[in-house]
Amino acid sequence: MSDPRPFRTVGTSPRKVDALGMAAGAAAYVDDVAISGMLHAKFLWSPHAHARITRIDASRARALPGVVCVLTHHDVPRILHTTAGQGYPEPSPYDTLMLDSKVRYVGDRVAAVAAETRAIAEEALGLIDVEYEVLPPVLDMERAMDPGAPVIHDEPDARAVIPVPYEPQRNLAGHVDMQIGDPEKAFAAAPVQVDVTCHTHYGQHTPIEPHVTICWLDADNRLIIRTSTQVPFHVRRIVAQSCDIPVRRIRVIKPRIGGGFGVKQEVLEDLVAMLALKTGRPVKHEYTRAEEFVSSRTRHPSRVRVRLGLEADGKPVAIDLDVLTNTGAYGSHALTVACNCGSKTLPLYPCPNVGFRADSVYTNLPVGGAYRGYGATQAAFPMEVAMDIAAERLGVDPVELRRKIHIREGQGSDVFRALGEGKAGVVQKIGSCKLDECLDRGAVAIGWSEKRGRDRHSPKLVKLGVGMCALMQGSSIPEIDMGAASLKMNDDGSFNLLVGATDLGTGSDTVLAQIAAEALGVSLDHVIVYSSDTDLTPFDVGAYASSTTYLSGEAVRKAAVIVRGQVLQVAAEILGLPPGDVDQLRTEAGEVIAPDARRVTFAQVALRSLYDADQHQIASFASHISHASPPPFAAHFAEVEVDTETGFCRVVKYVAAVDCGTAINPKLAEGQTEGAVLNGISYALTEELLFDQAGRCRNPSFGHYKIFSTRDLPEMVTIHVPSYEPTGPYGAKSVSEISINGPLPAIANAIYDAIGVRLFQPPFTPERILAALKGVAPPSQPPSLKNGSR
Amino acid sequence: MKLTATINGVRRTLEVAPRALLIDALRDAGYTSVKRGCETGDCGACTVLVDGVPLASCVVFAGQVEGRVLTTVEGLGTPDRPHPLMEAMVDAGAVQCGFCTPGMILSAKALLDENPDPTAADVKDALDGHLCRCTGYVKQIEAVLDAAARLRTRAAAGGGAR
Amino acid sequence: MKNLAEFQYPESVEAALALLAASPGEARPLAGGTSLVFAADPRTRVLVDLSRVGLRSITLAADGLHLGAMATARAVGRARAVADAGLAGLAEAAAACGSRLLQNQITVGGNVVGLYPWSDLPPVLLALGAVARLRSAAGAREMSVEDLVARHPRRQLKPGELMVEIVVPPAPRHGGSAFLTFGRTAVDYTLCDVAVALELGGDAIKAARVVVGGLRLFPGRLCAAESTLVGEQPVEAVFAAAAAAAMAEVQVANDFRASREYRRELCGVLVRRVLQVAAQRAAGRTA
Repeated sequence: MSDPRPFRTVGTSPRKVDALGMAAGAAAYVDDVAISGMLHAKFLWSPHAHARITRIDASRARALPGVVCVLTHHDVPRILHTTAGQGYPEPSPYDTLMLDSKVRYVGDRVAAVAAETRAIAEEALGLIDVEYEVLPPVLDMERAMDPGAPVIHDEPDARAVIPVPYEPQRNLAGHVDMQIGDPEKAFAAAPVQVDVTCHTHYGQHTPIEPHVTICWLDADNRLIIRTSTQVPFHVRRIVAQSCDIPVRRIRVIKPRIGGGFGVKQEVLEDLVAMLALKTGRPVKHEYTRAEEFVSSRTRHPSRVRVRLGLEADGKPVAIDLDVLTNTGAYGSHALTVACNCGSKTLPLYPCPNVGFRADSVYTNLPVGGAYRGYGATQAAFPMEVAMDIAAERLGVDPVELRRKIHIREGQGSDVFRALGEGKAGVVQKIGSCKLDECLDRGAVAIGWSEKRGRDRHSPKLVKLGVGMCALMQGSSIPEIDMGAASLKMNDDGSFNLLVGATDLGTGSDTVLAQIAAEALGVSLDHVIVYSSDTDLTPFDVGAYASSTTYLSGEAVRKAAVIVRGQVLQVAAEILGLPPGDVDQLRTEAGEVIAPDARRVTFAQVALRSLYDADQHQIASFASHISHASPPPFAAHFAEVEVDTETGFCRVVKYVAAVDCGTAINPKLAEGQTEGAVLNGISYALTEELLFDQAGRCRNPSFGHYKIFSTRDLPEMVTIHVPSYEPTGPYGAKSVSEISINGPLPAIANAIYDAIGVRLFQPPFTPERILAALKGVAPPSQPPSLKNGSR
Repeated sequence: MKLTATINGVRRTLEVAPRALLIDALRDAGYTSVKRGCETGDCGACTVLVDGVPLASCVVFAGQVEGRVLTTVEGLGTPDRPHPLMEAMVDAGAVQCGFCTPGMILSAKALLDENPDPTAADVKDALDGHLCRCTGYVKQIEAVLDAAARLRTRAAAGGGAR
Repeated sequence: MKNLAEFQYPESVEAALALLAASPGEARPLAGGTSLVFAADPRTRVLVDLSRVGLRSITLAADGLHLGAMATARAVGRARAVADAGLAGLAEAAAACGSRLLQNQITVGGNVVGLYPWSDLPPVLLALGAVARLRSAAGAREMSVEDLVARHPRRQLKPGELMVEIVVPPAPRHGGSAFLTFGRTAVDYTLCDVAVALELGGDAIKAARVVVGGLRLFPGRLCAAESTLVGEQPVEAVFAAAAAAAMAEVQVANDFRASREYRRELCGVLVRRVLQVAAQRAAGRTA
């Protein structure tokens, strides 16, 4: 489409459409409704990391007054599926049952109870008699594929449903490899070589609203699922599969959601649905915070080795990425997170010889899932630390090295073609890239040239340092993701915009309404957004892969363009213009304006079309898939202060300069960046799920798993550098994920600038920093067993 | 057991179990702005003003508020007549998922009642028990400072009229 | 507390004591409640809510600073009387009692009697030589905080006995106190905290109490560190020697968050730093 700038609504920051109601405490979330006769569900979780259930007897629990239903693996269909809320057929293996006779991590499902009160349900859990045959667990991902290692998925029918490597007998949940050119030959000849291995650890999303689901049967015996999900349509499909009922019998309603960050891309509703189907009564299930930490989903821990081969002038001649990720007990997102380790880092630095291999292995630990960043977080860390090391060896400024070698507008990358999600990728050229400006403005904002290296050799006890990194992500999964929207006109010239896209707190309802308002030529308050309800709204894959603004936004724009055409037709009739003159009409502020300045209001158009002449509903549907996944780009800069006596690292200031194309709503875009950055910082410094040697989580609470509060906040600077992405709605690309990837490398590089030691194992705890300063081995690895022996 | 308290200006008697927590008593009575985020007093989503003092209602027995004056965010304003803190939160872009917002507004209210002209550091201190995963806190802090200014302006205008 | 049946709301200490005496084993005092809400004791049938008995005042008298058992951490941290008493270390510890929300609820009595390894007030009260006043229907008695936390305070109290007040003796004219805590974030269960009370005489340290908390179940004095200090000048080398002594003598329990070795080292750093602050304060009062 042609460049429609200047914009009217796009690029402004009106109030988020749902914000005032939320601020006033409106009963808008899943659990804010009470349905009469509602039962309360609780799940019994496995106390063992790996065991067979040899006997399970729920008779005592069933006999407890107030208990209405108890389900064990004997009582539910045995249907292998994946909980990953992905498009069909899913790239994640079918390795999960609603309830199984085997448990695979501490916190795995064993049974479910529905009772009149939560207290009775809790009491009933203690009355379920279970005998386990405890099996040796796999708790170290590095040992998962050892010959003779316990086989976690020994069920014969666990399978991949698309043609991808899947070898559960070796605990291999996913594998991908790719080669362009001849990396080994190029390495051998490269004058500068860097070889870095970094680990990342178990982290959890911690949306402040845990997973909560209410299921009931309506008057027509259909199953209604009111749930905190990012993927209502995938919930409908996967619950239908898992409960063995038709899709048409299910309606999924997504009300306001209290945050997701990827963890609500997981379909965990099936067991609540089954309780409702079995009892015929409404059933509510709400994860406790401890359950949310352990039994929902986590970030896949990883070990990533990056090798760089560079020319003397810094140009990469070979890049190789070797990845191992731990998917935990089930293979949710195992393959695709691993793929993204390569596809969201390698194209940033064009290079003729590229190698990439990734294995994702099963262990008897909590399950990995989708988490903001999605592999890019795991791989950008070693990549950008390696670039920092390369710059030092080359004797160039790290900012200048990136500036010299990053991908540019008009350039393609063979990696885009070679690496998709579970299949080959899509050829694409970069249509927008303002990374240079991000580098420039970010460097100025942090005070790069003044601050760099100032304390390295000083005798101070508390040293300051600055570090940086460059980043890319994507915008939707090309040629896989689809978003759709419908728009209909009301009497007063307002419009209902129905989208399957899922606002989980991001503000996408507002952004999509702004896009519709822009295309229609009406004010924002004339667009009433509704998301999402599988009975009412058109299909959308859901809120993931940084797709909503870019992909669903384009569907909305298309739908609005169609409707605008219909409006103009009616207006032309009112104005008595020949049909051929429609093109000369324009719309502005809810009016159609003719070349001779005569005006027709949208309300007049609506009233005529609904009541007066040639009555019809002005309405449209539009769908969109993308043939590209244009990367947003970013340059992040961290200033840290390291206490060399305690090892404590404090982030003093953080600058995120981001090219997300057109920011449809700049304030909401800033909010995305700030939230992602702070999540990234606390993941880099403090957040970590810790386990003992039996695989039990040691810290499933906000008291012991520390996310940052207001008092930990550094000075935050967000700079959005506008570019114009030709394939996106009004030039937009994505913004939500990219900025969570920066803090690990930027802080690691800043710590190096401050104290001259490199950290490869986050979180960068005081103890690890002090150990690194002393040159002793940091606390043990892998992180999953850290401190287990103490 | 019976629990009598003044909730948002209305004297109410609720039937609660003796071991009921305040969060459950209020949510069951329809005050659903009191959100459950952790059950350990660590996230602040369930904050309620008890005699004007913000407390995490998930670590308070319902029985502890017998005879007290309680305020939830429903008692501060409505979408039609929003409290300046609500408007400031909305205008700053501080409301993303909104789940932490009611609790933060109540703690901010207690702060501004005590200190009408706080610094950013005062706001950070006052909100340190409220976890938010969406925003990075930047816009909430801005919002509270903005609301303070709005309230001071309003007070000055009111004072001038008298 | 599945058998909890009722709340009682006595309006005086005497009435509270009578209620506790009337149902031994079944009645339990309730202060702030932040810990009690998690208690699982099936014997508890009655909670005696102390919110109406008074005991909230924080006052400075000739015999020292009186902290009512129901005074909140927030109140202690901001009390004029605490500042007037020159007990900066106490204010610092009170401000470290969790988030603002929890400080509004945590009480002096609850923080001391319900002692956890991370409780912030007991170490500083121990360092300041505070005394706890205990009452029961049978009478009153006093116990030093040092004795009170030698075992779990709840086991030191007799059935039906309440801690009603803490008295912190007047700070000496050339005295200074300080408290330092170390967590992963601003609001965290401490990995180690150190409280110090120093008294200077002439140009030397006349008396010193150094207390460490967070490293094991109960806080405790670091006597070797204290004796390193007494009689010496308040200078960096002496503080370093005290820190070394502290690291040598301190007992460190397991903690899944960090190794014993690290927390031992951390203790040394904190001892040295907190001594510097306390010494400056003591010298300031001299001036």
